Amino acid sequence: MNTNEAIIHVVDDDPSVRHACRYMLETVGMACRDWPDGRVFLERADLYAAGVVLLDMRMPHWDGRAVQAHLSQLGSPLSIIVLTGHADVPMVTDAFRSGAVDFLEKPVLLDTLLPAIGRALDRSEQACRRRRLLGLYHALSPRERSVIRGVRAGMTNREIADGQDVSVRYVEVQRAQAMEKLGAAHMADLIRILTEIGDP
Amino acid sequence: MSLIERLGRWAAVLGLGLCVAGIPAGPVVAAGLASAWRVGILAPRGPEKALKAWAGWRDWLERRFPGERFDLVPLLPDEALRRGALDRLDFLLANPVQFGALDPGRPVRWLATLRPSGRGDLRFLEQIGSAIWVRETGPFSLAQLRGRRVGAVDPKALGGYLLGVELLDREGLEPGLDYVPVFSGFPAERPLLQLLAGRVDAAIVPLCLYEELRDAGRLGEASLRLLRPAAADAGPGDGPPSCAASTRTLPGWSLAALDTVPDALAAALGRALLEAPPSADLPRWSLPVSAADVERRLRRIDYVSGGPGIWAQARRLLAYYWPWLAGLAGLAVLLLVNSLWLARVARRQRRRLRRAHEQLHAYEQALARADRAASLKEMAAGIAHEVKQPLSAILQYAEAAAYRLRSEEPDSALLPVVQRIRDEVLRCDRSIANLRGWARPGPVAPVGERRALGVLVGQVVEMVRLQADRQGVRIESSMPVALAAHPVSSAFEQVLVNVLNNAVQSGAGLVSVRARAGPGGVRIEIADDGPGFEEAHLRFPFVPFRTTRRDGLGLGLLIAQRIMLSLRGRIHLDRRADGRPGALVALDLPLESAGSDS
Repeated sequence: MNTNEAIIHVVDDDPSVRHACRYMLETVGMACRDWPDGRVFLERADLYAAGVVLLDMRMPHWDGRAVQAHLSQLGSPLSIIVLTGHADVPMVTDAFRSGAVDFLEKPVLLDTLLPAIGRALDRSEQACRRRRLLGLYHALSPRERSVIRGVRAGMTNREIADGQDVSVRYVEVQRAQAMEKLGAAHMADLIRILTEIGDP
Repeated sequence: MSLIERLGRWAAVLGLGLCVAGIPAGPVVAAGLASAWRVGILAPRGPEKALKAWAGWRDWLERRFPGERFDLVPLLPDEALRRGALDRLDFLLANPVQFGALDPGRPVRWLATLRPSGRGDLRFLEQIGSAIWVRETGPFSLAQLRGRRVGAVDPKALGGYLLGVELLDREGLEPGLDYVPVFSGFPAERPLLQLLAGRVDAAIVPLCLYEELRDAGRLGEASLRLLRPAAADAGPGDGPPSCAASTRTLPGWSLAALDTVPDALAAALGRALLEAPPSADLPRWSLPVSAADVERRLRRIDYVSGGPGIWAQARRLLAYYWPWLAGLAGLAVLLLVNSLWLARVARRQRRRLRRAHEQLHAYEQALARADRAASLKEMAAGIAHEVKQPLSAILQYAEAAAYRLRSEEPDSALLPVVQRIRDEVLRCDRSIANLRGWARPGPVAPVGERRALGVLVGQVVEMVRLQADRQGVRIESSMPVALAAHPVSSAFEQVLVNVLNNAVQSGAGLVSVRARAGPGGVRIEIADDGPGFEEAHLRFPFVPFRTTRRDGLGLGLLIAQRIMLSLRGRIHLDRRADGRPGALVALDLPLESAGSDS
């Protein structure tokens, strides 16, 4: 568990709940920040770093749904664990549909919360990495990107060169440049990265 | 009774000296052999006058028939008309026509008829006729009596009414229709006195009455005028009428022997009357004159025997006015049918109204119950939420403490205590979960049956109006026909009730409910002209237990929101669009096909 950089955001309108949660998480060694409501959280928190949001659904200013919608709209890598006083089926379905990693009912035991946070962090880091790779991918020149797309479709350099009406040598150069930019040491690495990015 | 009397009388006449006791009014059998014959005399002018006028004649009679006694019995005409009044009489001195009216069933022999003699006190018995007197100031003809009050003595008086009526009848005037008869009762001079007093416009009086009163000076200075003097009409009596008359004069009174008088006596008496030498003191008699002509004329106007009978009058009216009466009867039937029909319609309408009212009432109660249950459940949910927050905090502090103890001093005696805190919190949480479990199937889930939107809105508006009317709040609603059939869950009722109640209780005067096609379905807008929502309320609309009303729970809009969510609809709070103060609540319902709910 990578707990030293990732931050756990506690968003809850109830100050004592906020404090208790933060106290508990810090006790087990996690970095925590707490926010009194969704709006403040969205305005001030670093939404593009790896991390987990423990989100209360029922808040007066910007309820959980709105925060979730906003985060997914921004493409934030933060993982969301919905923490709510009461859950019903539509609410749970709704939360998962808008991208929550987990859905827990208050009060929550440490034994339940920690594994959930662990899973969420993994997801967030993965999302972070993908986001970084996606950034790199988007930084490729159009020529490099089209070569990479050929590689991904399983074509040989010659096939790519024929298809794009360029020389095989040119394809090799473009591919090497792209691998370097994406930080892939070898072919298998490139494939892993491409899989991680998925279909951009 | 009357048979025994008659036998008794015969016994007296035959001189058997039998005394029949116990018959108080029978012929008196005196101590001698003389028996008394009772002679009834009509006395329209009063008994004293009659006795005085006829006393001389009675004496003459007793002289002429020694051994017989004659008692004069004056009868006021209205007395004589009473049934049985003639039973005790043996002779009757009356007008033949009037006798017919008195007792038509009794056999009678007319012996002689009075002849005009010029004797003052008898002259109005010797001839009979009517004089119609008016004041000098008018009216001036019989025709002018139309619509006037005409005085008379009695509806059965011959000279005092009937003959006058017969005259007027020939002029085309009918009593009660064309003029108003006013009957004064006996004695006969009363109508004249009423005429003088101005209470009637004309008076029908018997012949010679006026002259007598005038001669006696009882009319004072007043001058009256005779309508239609009938001087030329001599009639069957001989000689000119001795007094002014309006009608023709009829032969005067006749003497009749009733069936208790033996023929021999009757014949002897009749002969004696006719043979009596003329004398200044005695009335003069002639052979009996028939009254058939008079009777016939009077019968023409249905006045003989019982006077103007009510049936006869009705028959005459019917004959005269039957088209009008038929029309009136038809109209009455029409009105009756119409009113019956209206009553039926009204009754049915009333029944329908009452049924609708009962239905509405039951519906209102059901909704109120549902509202109470929903409020309670929402409250339970609210409390559960409020309690969960601190519980959550306690648990997390306990968890943190336990973690710390485990890692730093695993043998601490506090560790099991902290564990106990944790367990108790969990127990508490289970209780709350139970409470929520009860509250759960409350307002959030009910899909219920589907109803037509138009019907549902109409019913709710009608129901809320019951309360709104009491508070003087008007509710108007409009529903496009195209949307009225839109199916909607009956749970929507609760939403509409809550929103409308809020509007009505906000202090608005007019609340309008409008349905229109909205984003993805139907939008129902409830606008009022109350104070509207506060800024904070608009920004965070659905906060439990916030209310501006003293008795409000602050859950109405919250419940509405929950239900709308469960119906996949939305609720928006806003200000009125036209800039005036007031709240606007928009309810968006999705278009649903039947049974689309998961």
